[in-house]
Amino acid sequence: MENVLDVQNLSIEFPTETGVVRAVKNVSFQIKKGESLGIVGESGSGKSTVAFGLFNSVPDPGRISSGSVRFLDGRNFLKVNTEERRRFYWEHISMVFQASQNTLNPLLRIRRQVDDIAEAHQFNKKKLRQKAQSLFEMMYLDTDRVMNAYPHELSGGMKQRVSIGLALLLDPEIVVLDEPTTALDVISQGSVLKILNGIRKELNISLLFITHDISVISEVVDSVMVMYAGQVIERGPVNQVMSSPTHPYTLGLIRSIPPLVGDVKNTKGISGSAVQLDLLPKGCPFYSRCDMRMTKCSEIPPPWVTLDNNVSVACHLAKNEGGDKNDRTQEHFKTI
Amino acid sequence: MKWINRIIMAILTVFVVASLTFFLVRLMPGSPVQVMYLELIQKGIPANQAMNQVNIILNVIPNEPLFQQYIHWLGQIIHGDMGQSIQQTGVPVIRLIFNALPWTLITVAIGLLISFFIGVLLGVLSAFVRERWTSSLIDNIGSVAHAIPQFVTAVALLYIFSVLVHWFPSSGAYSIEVFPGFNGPFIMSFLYHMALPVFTYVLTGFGAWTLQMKASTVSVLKEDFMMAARLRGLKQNTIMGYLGSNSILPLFTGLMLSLGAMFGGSVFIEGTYAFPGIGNLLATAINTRDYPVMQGCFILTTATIIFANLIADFAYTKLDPRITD
Amino acid sequence: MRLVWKVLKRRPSRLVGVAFLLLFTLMAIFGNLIYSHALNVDPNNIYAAPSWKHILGTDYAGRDVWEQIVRGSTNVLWVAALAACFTMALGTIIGLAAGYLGRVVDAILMRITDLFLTIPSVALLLILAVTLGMSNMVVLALLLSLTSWGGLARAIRSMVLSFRERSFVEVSRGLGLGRWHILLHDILPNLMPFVWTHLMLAITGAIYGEVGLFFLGVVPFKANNWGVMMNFATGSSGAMYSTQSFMFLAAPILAIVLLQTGIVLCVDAVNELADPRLRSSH
Repeated sequence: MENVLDVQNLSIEFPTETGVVRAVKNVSFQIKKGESLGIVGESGSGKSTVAFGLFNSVPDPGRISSGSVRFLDGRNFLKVNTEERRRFYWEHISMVFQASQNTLNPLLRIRRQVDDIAEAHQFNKKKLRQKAQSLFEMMYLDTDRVMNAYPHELSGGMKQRVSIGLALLLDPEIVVLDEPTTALDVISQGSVLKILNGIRKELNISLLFITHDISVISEVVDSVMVMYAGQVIERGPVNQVMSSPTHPYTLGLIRSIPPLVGDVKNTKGISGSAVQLDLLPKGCPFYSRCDMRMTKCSEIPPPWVTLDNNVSVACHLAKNEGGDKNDRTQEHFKTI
Repeated sequence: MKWINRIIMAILTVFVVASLTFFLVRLMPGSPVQVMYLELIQKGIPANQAMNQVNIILNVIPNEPLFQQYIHWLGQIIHGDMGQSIQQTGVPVIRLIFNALPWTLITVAIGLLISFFIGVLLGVLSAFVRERWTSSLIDNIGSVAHAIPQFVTAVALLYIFSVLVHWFPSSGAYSIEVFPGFNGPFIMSFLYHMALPVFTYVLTGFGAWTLQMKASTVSVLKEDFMMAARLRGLKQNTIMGYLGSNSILPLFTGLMLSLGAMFGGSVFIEGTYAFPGIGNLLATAINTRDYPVMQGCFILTTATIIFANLIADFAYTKLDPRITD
Repeated sequence: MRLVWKVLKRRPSRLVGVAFLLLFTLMAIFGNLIYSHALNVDPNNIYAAPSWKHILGTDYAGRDVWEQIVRGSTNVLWVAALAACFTMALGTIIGLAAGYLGRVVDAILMRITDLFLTIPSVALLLILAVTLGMSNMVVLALLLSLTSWGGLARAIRSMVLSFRERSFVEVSRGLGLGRWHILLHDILPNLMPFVWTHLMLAITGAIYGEVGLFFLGVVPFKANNWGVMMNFATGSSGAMYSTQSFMFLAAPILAIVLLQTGIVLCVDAVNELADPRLRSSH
């Protein structure tokens, strides 16, 4: 199947007083039509910056230093001029934001905000309103009330669903969802994810989830990509990564999920504090916090290794051949 | 219901202010009532007649108990009688005020609008400029302009534009050759005369708006919905509309509050330019200790401001959907 | 001290501001020591042009203008500082009380605050000045603060209301610490950066009101003040309309402008010094 999105070697820098910080380093990935990918990492891992990079709209003072972003049309989106970029947004790629509660203009009714989108992309206002209504209906919203409401008149979960509806308004090929459920309570989280899964199947669109909580998205994504300190350190089918994580960091992420049943004592955090991008070792970025570090880890950057379960990982431990490696991960699991 | 309450509160506030001025003037040592009464007696006017005259001018019968004086005075005020001027004998205070008020209202309103407009523009500019020194220059100009007292600006402008270069007249609201009314020459003459006062209001007023607008714009620019609007591919005009409406809105509450400061400033500005508005009236009354005029000016300007605030609050609920009822 | 210097040199405008402020403060402190004798009246030297003997020339009575500016600074700064302190005390106490002592106190105090905020403060100041009469500078400072505490009280109140809901206050409450302890140890320190910054603005407000009263000639007692100079220059002396006397008119104007500019340019430095969060962000 063709790639809806093809990102190659994307790097994003932030100049600071002490020097340039590379928030995203050589990130490459592809998403196929109808596929759903999750980018996982803790705060500061660069996962949200990647999302803004896709829009070629990195917040100030950051800038994209290298790489390419190609959608279906095949041209490098990073080279497209402002007006074309504006038209491209929302019609081909849209986004549901981290704090979607605040992404609606507080002074305008929802239908006005739908109209604004229609006007910007030269759609028929009446038709687009009907489209919005049917989307809101799919999301179990009281359509008439929502269309005539001001944002503050809606609850957090409702606003989130409105944002998702707006993101689907122009039938984009791909929707980026930046922590779409973090601000919601557990029940709304579940229903929002269920809705997203349904829509994805019905409309056959591609989704890109960005989250710090790997467990939340495990039900809705096909594959995951784990980021640490601006770099991808492991990626593969979600089942494989969840059941047998290879990189010690991924292992830590999964271990830190509290179980739904059982004792919370069994969960473990990752030792050490969050990464400081300007103080990275020459070798593996996770070196200082890794439980299984070796001497060469601080000096030699770990190479990419593709394992036989379709998982790729950047870790010196994964250098061994497939069978041997699996034993190691089994061992890790015994220690939990 | 809420608005009926608000209106009642406004009327009560005016009443409290009026009562305060009454007791302030009456209870001070050397009360003007006693002073005037004694003066009249000393001039050889019989006590009865003297008392009557004090009553006409100050709305108070001197030898009555204080509380009765107050009730009596209040009754007169409610009927629109604020006594007579001591200096301009026989002229009712209310007429002096109604002659003066329109001049002030027009100049203050125009000054406020222009300074608001300039301030908003500069504030947005300062929020948008990339170079830090430009934006900090705008901020500093804004805060310095705001901190310089109106009378200093007024005197400086008067000296430069009317004493040194004779571009603008130094006093009055229109020239003696024109006939007040709705006619071209009068309006032109009025505009000519009010240029310097309005300029002073603008120079001393725009700074505060610049600073407020900058702060407001900067905070709206950080809002998530601005980023969202951009990524939705909305047109630049629409996005600027989102930015503008959201950042100007908080300034509206300040707009009416600043009326108080501007009316206060009119004492200095109109005093300096001998512009026949309410500020000038108050300044003159204070210098000549014309108590009835002083009280009248004070009560009426306060009432004007209180009701302007009421209207502004009402308009604000129409502008901001987040505020209900 | 090192910190002060570090904060100041971050922006050139701050250095300029501090320089002006220091100049006037020195003038105010030492002015009366240098010019302890009475002002010289010299009828033969009316409206003299600036010279070495009279740096800024002389006025309509042949008195040295520079000397008057220096003498005036003592009065201007002393009253302004005093008034600003009164304003801070009044505004902070009323704001704290309204925000912390419950709904009834809050409602009453905020009514009063609103009243003071709507009344045009200059007009109120003038009426109070005329009716109460002012016998000395302390009374003048009190009057000035009486008409200018409203904005501060309101801001402090809303800050207290928001701090009350913050987690660090909740924690203290959970620990069983007393109301006063929380007010003094948790809430007040968080307000101080704002209070210090507002103090600077209160000084400019007080200078405005004070010099304005002298300018209008409402203050009954004699004092050396730039407002008095401006009053004479624009009024009785007729200096306004003769170009000869430019210095006599321009000197007090310049003095006020420079002083206010100095204070205003220092405000953001004070803000940064008082608020550790701002400092660390650089």
